[in-house]
Amino acid sequence: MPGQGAQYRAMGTGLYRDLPAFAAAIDEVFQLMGTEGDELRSDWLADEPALPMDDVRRSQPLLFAIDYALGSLLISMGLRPAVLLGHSIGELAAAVVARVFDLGGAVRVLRHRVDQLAEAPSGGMVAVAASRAELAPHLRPGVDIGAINAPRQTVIAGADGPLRITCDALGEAGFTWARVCSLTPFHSAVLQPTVDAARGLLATVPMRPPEIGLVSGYTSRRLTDAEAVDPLYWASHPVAPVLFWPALSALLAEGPRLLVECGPSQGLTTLARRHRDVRTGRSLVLSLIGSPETGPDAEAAHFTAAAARLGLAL
Amino acid sequence: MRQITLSELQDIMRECAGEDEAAMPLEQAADQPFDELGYDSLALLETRSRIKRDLGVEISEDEFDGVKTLRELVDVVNARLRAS
Repeated sequence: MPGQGAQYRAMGTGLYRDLPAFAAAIDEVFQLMGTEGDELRSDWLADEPALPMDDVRRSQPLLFAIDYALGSLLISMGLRPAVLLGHSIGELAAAVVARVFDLGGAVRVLRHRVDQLAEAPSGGMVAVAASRAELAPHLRPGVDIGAINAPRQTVIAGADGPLRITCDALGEAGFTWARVCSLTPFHSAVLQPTVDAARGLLATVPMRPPEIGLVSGYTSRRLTDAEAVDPLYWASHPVAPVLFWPALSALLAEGPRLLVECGPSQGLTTLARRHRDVRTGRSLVLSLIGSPETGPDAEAAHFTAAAARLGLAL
Repeated sequence: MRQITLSELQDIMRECAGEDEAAMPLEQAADQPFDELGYDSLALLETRSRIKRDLGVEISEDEFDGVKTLRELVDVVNARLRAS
């Protein structure tokens, strides 16, 4: 389940319009968000949204909602996933599907996080075509490793100033980099102030051990029962790096898989295609919505074809 | 006159992406869309940069966006090398 970076304008709106079962699932999320949920839905469906999709107030809840709705829909169609893996906010959606949180509890966590992040210093995230080791000497104070996406794709994050200085230094040193679409420096120490407040909130949200296996993007191994119910585990997500590649590798090491990108875009399946297990055909990948190029009108057909490959029909 | 082969270009791209060895036969990989080989926009940006650095061939962003497969990229690079 993808997180920040996977969002794009009008993502999932075709499914909303054309698949009542998807609309019903995602409407559950909007409903739990009250009037904010109505605003979110309207802006999502609008021809000219008031807030850009990259704004944390749009990208985070919508990515969560779409990831959750797709997961919930597949399960209602009869899918029994062997294991779940979420990238950043995707892990919160995965946690609901795994029944660690009920939807209402997760939405409270999400809303609190978005409120906190909207107040955070602005900054960004940059994907660099380099390994963590290659990058390390060039990181300036105030910039942290935000994600390990692949052996030569590391995301760095930080407030605007330090991030710009670091990118200049990386450019000078011959590295290729590109901004990840985010106006917030996720997975960096800049967001540390959100952790304590989130911990307080999470202490009031019911949590249970997962009923479907979850590989943690933060520990890069199976989420333990103790971690699943630990407020500090969930509260730390905005400051801890997403170890996607190690988590993916751990998941694939367990056995051959069909990896389903349960959310917008094909970012995670594209990364997964670099893994030896996928390149050799031992494990396969499949996306549910497609990419920005797919376009809303083709989303329902794409989803239906993907579901058919999973042996599911609406 | 310098020309690159599909195999050489594949090696460049695999190094950019950090893959240790090719798993798909080259003839099959040559015509696959880049994203199906695991090469996202960042990997392509890096490849474009390496081609400039190692072969002295500069391909504009627009022209690069129009290239979808290894085979197409080899053709573009070799045409440039022949012209220079």
